[in-house]
Amino acid sequence: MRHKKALILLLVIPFLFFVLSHLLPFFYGIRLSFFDWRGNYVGFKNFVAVFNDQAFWDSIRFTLLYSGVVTLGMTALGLFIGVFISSLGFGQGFAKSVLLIPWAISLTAWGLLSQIALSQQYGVVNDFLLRFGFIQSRLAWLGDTTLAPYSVILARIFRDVWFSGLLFLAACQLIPVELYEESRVAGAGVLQNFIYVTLPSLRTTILFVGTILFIFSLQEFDLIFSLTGGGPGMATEVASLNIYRHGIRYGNYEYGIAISTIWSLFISLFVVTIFAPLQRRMLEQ
Amino acid sequence: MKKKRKFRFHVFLQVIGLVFIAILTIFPIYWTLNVSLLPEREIMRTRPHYFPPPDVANLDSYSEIFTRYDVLRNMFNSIIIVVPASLITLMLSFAIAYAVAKYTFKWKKIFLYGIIWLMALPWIVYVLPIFQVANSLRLLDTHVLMILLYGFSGIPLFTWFALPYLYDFPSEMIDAGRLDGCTEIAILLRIVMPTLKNAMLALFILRFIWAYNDLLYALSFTFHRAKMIMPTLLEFPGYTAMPFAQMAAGGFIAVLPILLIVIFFQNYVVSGLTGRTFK
Repeated sequence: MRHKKALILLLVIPFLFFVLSHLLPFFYGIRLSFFDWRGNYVGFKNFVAVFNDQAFWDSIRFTLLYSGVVTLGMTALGLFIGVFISSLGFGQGFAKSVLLIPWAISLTAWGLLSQIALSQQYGVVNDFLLRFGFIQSRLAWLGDTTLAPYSVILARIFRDVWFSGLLFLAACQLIPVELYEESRVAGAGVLQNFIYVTLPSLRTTILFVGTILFIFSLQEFDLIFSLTGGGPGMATEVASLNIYRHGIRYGNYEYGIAISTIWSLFISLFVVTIFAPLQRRMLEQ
Repeated sequence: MKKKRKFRFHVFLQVIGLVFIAILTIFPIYWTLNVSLLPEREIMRTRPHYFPPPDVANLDSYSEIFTRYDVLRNMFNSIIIVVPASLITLMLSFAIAYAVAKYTFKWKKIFLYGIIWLMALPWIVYVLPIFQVANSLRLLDTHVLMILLYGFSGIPLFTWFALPYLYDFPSEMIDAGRLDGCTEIAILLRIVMPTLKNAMLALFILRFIWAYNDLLYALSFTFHRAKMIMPTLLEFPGYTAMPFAQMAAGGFIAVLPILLIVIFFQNYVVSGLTGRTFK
């Protein structure tokens, strides 16, 4: 009895704030996507229009490419950075402090800074690559439709790979030292240590960091909005930007909501099949 | 002799690696500072200055952005919105996490799945309907709306972050409180939260950083009166000209508070992110 009252007070009421401010508008939005702007019921017309829109499919495809490459890059490089720093006999505190510096820069500011650094004529990246002979002519990092998607991906990896390195560093420090001692007694070298001790011990962390990064990159908006705005053309438009463009910039409200309904269904499918079982397993440990 | 030399080489490689990491992580903020101190015409050159030459460096772009844009006012807006919002997020999330961790109820599993689902749902799906609702309530572009939105939007993620701390919380302390006749709320406020104050501070800092750095809600719901700093930054690049020095100066000013927090509260940030309390 006592518990029931406490549950209402401590769980239901606090959570109700989220329901009222976010979930209700969300479901209200789903309802709106079945109407046109005059408020007439149109059935699935908005959805059919979305499915016939090539830009929608392009944005979904780029979102998946972006999230996939960003996740793989950050997980692999982050793992390397984390393992490297944990193997140091000195300077670990120093390394920890510098790893967080890029993470402190907001993605909006990071987008502006990347514009400056990647500028074709005046940017430091082109200048640096030219000086060391990696390229012969200045690349249009943000102006070329085939190059821009990779520039955006690289800009994102360069900001957050340190952060994922920090997560792996923290996980490395939890591996019992005895494991390494045993493997040294068995005559293992650096590489064998990594393959037979570090990797198996970090398996859950790798899965955890990987899925979290994937989930967050599927939501990407800030960086791409401030770096390219989805351009050139629509070469770097992710799903969130596609929804924003239709719903807010074009004022095509119901159409934008229809896209966002489809997109949230995609995400939910991913959550139910992969993300949720994995997260629960993490929590139960 | 031979062994000693090999050892030294190993250390040498490690030093190189560490220096490399330090250069790459510090370079972006260094470059921002560098560009912000140069006059625009000194940036428009194919061989960029790698450090600002003393005879041309000045603070003009800073005075320019402070007079032409409401940088300071909008930063102040961001801070007075984000501080109460983070407090709201923390109080509500800890209450929920406490209930989930310490009570048994039938639909706990479904609730946890729901929280996970909500963490994964992208923010953009809420933006359009919230815009319409807020518009009809005449709440667009107000501080109250932003405090409530940032306060409530963090609930799923921060409940999830708070859960491990509350699962580890000793149930004996809670039972002792019950024996003393405390109500459940008093237990949460007087026993659980003070004991977990390090964790709460760590998560408060995280929530502050994320809400301050967020663009989407600030861009979609604030325009003038309650305008926040991140959308303000996007006004700097013009349609015809790219004032790089001003963009860098604005970026540096906007990032500075977070940078200081991360440097001074580094231990809290790391423990909040990795879900471990430090001793």
